Amino acid sequence: MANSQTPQQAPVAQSTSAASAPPAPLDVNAETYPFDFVQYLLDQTANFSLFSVPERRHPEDLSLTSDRNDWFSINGGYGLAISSELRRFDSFVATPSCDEVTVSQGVGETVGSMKARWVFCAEGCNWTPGHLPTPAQYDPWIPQCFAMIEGGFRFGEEDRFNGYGLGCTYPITAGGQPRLLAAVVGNVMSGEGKFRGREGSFVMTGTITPSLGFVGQVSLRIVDPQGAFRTERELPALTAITDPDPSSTFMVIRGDKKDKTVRTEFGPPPGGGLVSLVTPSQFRAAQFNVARRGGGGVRTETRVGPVVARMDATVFFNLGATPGTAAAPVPFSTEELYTFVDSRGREAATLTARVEHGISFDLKFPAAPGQPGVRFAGFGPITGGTGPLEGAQGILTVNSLIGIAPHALTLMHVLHLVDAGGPSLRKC
Amino acid sequence: MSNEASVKQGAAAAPRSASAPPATEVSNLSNEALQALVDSSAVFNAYVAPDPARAVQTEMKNGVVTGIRCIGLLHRFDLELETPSHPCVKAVNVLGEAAGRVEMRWIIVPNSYAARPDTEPPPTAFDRTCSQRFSMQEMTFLFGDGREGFRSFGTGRTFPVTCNGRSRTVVAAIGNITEGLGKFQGHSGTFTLCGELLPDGGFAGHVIVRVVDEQGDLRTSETLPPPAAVVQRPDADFTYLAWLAQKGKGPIMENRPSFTPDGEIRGLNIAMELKHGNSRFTVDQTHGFRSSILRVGEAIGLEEGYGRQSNPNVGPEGTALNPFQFEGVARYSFQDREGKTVGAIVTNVLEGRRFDFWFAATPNKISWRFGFFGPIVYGTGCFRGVEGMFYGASHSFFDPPPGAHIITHCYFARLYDPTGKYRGALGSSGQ
Repeated sequence: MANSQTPQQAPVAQSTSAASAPPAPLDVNAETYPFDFVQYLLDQTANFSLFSVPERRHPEDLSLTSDRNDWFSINGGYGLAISSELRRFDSFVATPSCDEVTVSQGVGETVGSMKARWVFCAEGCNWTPGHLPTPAQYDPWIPQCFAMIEGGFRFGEEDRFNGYGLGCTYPITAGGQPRLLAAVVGNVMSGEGKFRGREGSFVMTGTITPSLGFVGQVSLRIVDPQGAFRTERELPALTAITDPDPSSTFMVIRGDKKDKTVRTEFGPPPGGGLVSLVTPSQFRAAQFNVARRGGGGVRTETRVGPVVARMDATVFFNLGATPGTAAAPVPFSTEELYTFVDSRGREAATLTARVEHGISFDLKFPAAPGQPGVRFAGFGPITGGTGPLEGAQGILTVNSLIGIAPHALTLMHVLHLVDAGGPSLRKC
Repeated sequence: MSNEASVKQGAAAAPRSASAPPATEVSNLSNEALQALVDSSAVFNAYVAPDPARAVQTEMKNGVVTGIRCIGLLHRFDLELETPSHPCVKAVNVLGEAAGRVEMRWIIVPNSYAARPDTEPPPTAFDRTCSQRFSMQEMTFLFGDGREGFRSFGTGRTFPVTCNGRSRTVVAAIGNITEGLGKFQGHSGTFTLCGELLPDGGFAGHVIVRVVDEQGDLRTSETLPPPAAVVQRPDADFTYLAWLAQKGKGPIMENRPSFTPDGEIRGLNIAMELKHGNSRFTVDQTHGFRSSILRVGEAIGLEEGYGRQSNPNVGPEGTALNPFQFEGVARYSFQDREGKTVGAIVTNVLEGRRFDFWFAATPNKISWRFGFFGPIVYGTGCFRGVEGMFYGASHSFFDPPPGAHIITHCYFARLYDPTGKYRGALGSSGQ
């Protein structure tokens, strides 16, 4: 739940910022400000869990550029023109057992829309907002990366933002059927209404449909120290529509450290001037509710449930890099092990995944001058599972904010599991 | 398909191979005469079906399947597109008697591998669950008693698809004639095939062959007989559409550069007029192999295409060992007699291979013969929800805009058609 009380705190130690600190030895666990205070500040974030449902428009009606007489712009050639409704999405992971992991999920009312142009990249995809990448042809049989050159997110008439991002496709075979997954990570570049002047990150994971639409989950986190989006009032329960993608399960979970005694350690350096940070955390079932009824525009409400998993993550990044900006974010990657636990904390199942494409941005805290922080997001493949999740395949997205010294976390992860309707992973 | 797009101004300026005539890009021939040269090819449709008497052999390396070796029967195959009309575009497909055989040896190659006929590819495991490239290390077409035909080399790609819940391995490939046999001796030519690998590994599918026949020794002006027998196709739940495309008249037909937001040319927009057209071949004891003359019929629609060179870092030459590679996206709209669009397909040509050619009548003017294939991305009108592949074989003279563009495309679409939506009335027994 969002906490409206704003504790006033003074720094307890002088800490160097992530940008100016030498690669080591940086004590990421040191408390520039008290851990609980930094955790509180990190939680002043509006969290949106949304579901993209393609609008019922034919792909022919959309184009990659505004010049439809230039046939480069034909939708489906060198990119995809995405036009989706953004709907409320509820996903709640029940306490796992050794036999079963159950997720209750529902797609609800429309609260917004997304119009985006994804242009496939010929030679890697670099973060170049405002520029068209060297285009490559859409080829659904091979993994490809793309630039989301235009991403218009709108919540009603007033509240909207434009995003830029990078994405990749993942062709897989599920149940003997070829399927094309896609994931995107992006940054809020400019906004209007409630989004004006806000910083935020978005990620999405889903499936490209035969009609060139995108069906899947969208996570958006907006730094919201003034509480413009967040409400403590319980938002109305969603009215579910027929599942737009019955063969996908999305575990939307919220992570943090159990308490301030949990320490982050440096792991073996991976080379290339990078460092690795080994960070244990816990994940809870959570509901990230979004509504747009009545006045006041779009609102969010976060409710967390019981612990359902532990996570051990190793994060690889350049500790000495200049802090990431909207024009030049700092890349990172991770390797993650999720251990799902039953009500007694015993292991029920595991999932392994990694972030292949991660971007991070400098995060400042007006209420805590000098406190370093990072806002970061990314995606990558789920690489394996055990117990009820054996053979799992899909995509992981992460959308997070952290402090550096102290290393407090607020993590929003989505585990998108494909064809998981078997007896061991149940969706209801 | 717009393979010309990537060349821009480059064809004339680029260095030519040692064996090629000097590049002057001039010709005293009229556009009509150049069009006649482009059309002076033996263009014919054939269908490769498994020979039940000969089992498919798998190529094995290190205990894994790396390819296939088999002999297929080469059937006559008549494709006739009906005039587009509501409710849909339909085609008659008649699979006729076997008139020869094809000896095939296909090897899976790594995605970035540059295949050559004189080099054995590194062993690569065949995997039906993913799209892979392959080389046609041997692809020998033999007509009649086997004295006429040609050897060839080419490359292609597998495409795993699901049709009505059933997994299938679609294949498409482009080949180049490397040696002619009998009356094919000395002829250059290109072919494109599209079909599927059957569960036993054998190939079944259509081949469009386009052999340059400037002297006319492969073609006859006689009307060739229709297929003498009608045979069931192994892929009877697919319908093949066939049509031609040539440049029409008017501003809409003028080639236009496509520019990036920075003002750089990134390719070419090319419009074409879609047309009826067909031809067939036959083999008999008296004449051996004979192809009919390509018949170009009335206009039936419009192509709006964008194309470019696949790799901008290589030169514009297209040789047997290093064909020029191109790609593109296009919309093909089929119109009824009133000019109303009945349906359209949007296609992505993922692979195009172009070979430079000089006619004896125009030794100083380069022409291009080329093949291509790629998926149908989506359809509109009566093609809404369509699934299938697009492919073809073409020959052209091209001068950069505003120069002349003389061309005849042979276009095909292989459509999944379990209900016979695209099947013409006359073809029911043949499909």
